[in-house]
Amino acid sequence: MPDPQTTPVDAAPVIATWSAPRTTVVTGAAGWLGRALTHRLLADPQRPHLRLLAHSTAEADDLRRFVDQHDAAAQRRIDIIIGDVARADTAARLLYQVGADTDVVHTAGIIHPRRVRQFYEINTNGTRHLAAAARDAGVRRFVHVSSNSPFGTNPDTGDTFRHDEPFHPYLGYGDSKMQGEMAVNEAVAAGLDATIVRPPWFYGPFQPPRQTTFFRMVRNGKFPVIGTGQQRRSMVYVDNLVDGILCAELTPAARGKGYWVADQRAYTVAEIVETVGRALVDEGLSVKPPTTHLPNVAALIAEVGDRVLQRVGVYQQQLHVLGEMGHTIAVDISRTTAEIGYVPKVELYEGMRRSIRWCLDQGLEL
Amino acid sequence: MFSRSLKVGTTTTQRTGGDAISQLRFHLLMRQVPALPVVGSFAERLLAADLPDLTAAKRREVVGFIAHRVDALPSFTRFGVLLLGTVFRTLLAVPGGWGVARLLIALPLPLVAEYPRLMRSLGFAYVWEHWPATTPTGDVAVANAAIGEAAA
Amino acid sequence: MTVSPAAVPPATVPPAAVLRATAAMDADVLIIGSGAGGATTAAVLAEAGLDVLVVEEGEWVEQGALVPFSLEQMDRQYRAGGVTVALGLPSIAYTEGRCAGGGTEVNSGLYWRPPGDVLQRWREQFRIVDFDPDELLAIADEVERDISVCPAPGGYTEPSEVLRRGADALGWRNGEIPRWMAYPNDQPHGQRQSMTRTYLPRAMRAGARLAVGCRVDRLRCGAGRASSADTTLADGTPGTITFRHVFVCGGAIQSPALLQRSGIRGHIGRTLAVHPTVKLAARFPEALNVPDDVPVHQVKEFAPHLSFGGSASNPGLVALSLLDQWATFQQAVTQWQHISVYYAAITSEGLGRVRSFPRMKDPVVTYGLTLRDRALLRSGLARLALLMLEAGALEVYPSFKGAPSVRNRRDLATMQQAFSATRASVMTVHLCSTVPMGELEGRTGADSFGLVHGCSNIYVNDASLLPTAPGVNPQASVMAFAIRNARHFVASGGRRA
Repeated sequence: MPDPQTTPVDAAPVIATWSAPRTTVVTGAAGWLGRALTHRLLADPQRPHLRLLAHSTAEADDLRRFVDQHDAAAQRRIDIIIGDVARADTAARLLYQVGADTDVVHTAGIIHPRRVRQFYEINTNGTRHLAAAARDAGVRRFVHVSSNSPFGTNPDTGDTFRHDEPFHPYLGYGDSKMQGEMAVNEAVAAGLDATIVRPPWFYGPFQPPRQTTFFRMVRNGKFPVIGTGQQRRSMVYVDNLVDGILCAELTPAARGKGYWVADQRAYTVAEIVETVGRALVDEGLSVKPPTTHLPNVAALIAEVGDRVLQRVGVYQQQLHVLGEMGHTIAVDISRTTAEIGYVPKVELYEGMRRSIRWCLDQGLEL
Repeated sequence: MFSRSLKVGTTTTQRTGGDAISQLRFHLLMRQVPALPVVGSFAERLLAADLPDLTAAKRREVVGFIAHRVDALPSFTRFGVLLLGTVFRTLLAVPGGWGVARLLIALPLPLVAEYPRLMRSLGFAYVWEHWPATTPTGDVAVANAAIGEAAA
Repeated sequence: MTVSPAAVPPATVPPAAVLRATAAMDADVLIIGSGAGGATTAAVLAEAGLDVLVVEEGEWVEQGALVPFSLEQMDRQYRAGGVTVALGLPSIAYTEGRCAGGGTEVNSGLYWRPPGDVLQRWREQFRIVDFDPDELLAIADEVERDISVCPAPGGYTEPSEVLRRGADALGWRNGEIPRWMAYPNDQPHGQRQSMTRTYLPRAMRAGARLAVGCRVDRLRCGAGRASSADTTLADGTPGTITFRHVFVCGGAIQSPALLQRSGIRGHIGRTLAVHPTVKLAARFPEALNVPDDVPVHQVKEFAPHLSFGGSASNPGLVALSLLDQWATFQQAVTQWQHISVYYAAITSEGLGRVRSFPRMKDPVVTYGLTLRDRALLRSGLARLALLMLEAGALEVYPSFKGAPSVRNRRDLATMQQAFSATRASVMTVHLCSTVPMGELEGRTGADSFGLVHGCSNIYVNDASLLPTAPGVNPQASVMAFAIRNARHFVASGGRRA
């Protein structure tokens, strides 16, 4: 294991960090966050060996094409392992003989499944298998990407989640992610060196096509604003999130801890809609003024409906998203900055412009 | 502006109109119904069930305190408590009534559930303030001394 | 005048004899109630040379004569023995002082200045005219000297240390709240500098009369002017007091109730504001219980919407806090020495009402919590439980029906899942805003100096005037506003501004 080195971080106290490991393992590598992370890792000459987990052959082919678009790919050893993260044997295969100079970043997860039980198969059991395998393999650091959902929503629009909060999972996703965190903590108690990263709603390049709906809704003035849109939302630009993950990976002192990774401050929903609209206009797209204002009770009804459906095992995405829109989800990143040196570099307007440009570059219609 | 004077005199102002008098009569009427006979038997049964090891003498003392507090309740609350007290007292008088009462108080009925809760709150606060070493079943140990007495 | 000395208090205080109310009394200025609002008003008016009579429904009890937070104290110094409740789902238990000095005699004595931003908001939203927040804070400076607001000398009690330790471990803002206490020779147990030791003796030295055992049933009014008050004396006999001006200072429940009984219409009793609180009991490895005092630390990390502090924790109150889930929590009562009780308080977006009905002596008080209030109570209780675990608690017992005991973080999730405000023991000690002051039509019951709208000589000067719940212990605000308004009354000769 390399010795911790001392690197100064902007304006923050000096934080001891590790250098990059020989092997970096990424689960969910074909996903939105996984691609953004892999993109960054491929640009780093200090990362000689990447091992990426893809869910299916088709996904692996897609991932291979994505990797091959990077010039640096030729100079790296890149293994793509195919397997279902929910199965115990996948974790063993993924970490087979990786050695101690290895970090694992677990980004695989499911957020919009068809059935509620998939939450638990992937987010809970998948994490449990992987954390146990990582402990057995004796890896240097295991970074688990969790969420705000194990902590639910803020009880007041002025409330902000602090660094340390009691669990209060929001429905099936939140519960499965909470149990995922608990599985990681159990593995830590059994000797694993792990750090948890908790991003709220993230946005930015490599987004899946379904996310273009978001831009389209804003363009058409159809984004559902609940009440006056004063609910606050922490968001994180995906490159900021990658920064946060790398800080969590490379800071020895982060062992056994969990960190919020978000943009510097929370935005109100009204501000988000306004900023995205402005970013769209500045990228040369036309935007209609927002017209879809729903009463608070609409979000409440959607939330109740979502709860009822999830109780019988059914997940309905629109209902879930609308139900959550009535709430504030705001987090305080000051400890993340102080302890692992994470400083968000891109804020909402700039991040949204980059996202829009990326979509247009991909030929996606907004 | 103001007169600074100490007024001396023994004028008694006659209350005018029947309003004040009937109000007074109403209050006397309300206060004429002491709480003990209404809430006493129920409170006693409840305490006997919750704290079976509390001696009968101590239990009577606690019930006396509960009734004293019910007597001091603000008028509307007192009226409600005595109303519920009457219902429960009647219930206790019929065979199997205690079982029904237990069922009733276990249900999450608004206001109804607050009646046994009030009896319990007052009773438990009294028991443990006066005999802090009481066991959860109401066994008051010999060495018990009231915190209040000890501190005073 | 036929007033006779009351039961003789010890020689130290009061400086003048406390009177027993009689059937017929009169005064230039009648002040109804002798708490934080009434006592300060009396001192200002008497010192300005006015003829002041203060009537108090309760009795004069010497500070230190009763064990703080005991049932006996509740019997003698609280209204209805401390068993008062705002009906609702859930009903919210509240307490009111009913004795000379009112709430200042029996509460924790923790002093919080009104926050500057709250004062600004009140001024703007309720259109309080001629109101300078800085002037009010200057009055607060005086009050702090007068009632000796100071931190505790020496160390803190262990239950107070628990709050500090837990909050520090989480990086949450916390601190000691100063109290109106005197600590002769730096004794750890202070002497509460309540109204019976400060403003009431001062008022009496300046010539004010204080008559105890006198309940005011109604004011006789005509054309917005009151001339006399119907009273009931301690022995149940009726009486009358005549006056030129009257200050109603009975607190946020009794003041609007009296105005309503007197037939005064307007925005009276419609906007009761409180800080609802939920509680938990926490058990520690070491014995820490302090039966007769409360912690002086508060955790303000989530202020203003959420605050944590310590509650009175004598064994009776420990048993009460375990009562909601007695079936599983009862064993803990045997370890009450290892247990202390704590609360989470919120600012509420809900609203209460005080309503008086004909022929009914006491008002009916109701309160409704909003969904947001309920979420905040749940979150507050969980965060407080987390703080207790961080402070080293072995087990935490939340006060609601169906509560699990909390030993670890997984239990915190279970607890939040199980929580429902409707099944919780919700209580409050901060009651205000039933006669809000200001010029905003339809939302205020009294003008910018407490003169009841539509009346020419009826003033309110207590917690009822605070336009909203201030988010901190309100009595400092009550005293400062009462002094401001009383001074204005003196300066303006009792005429409308």
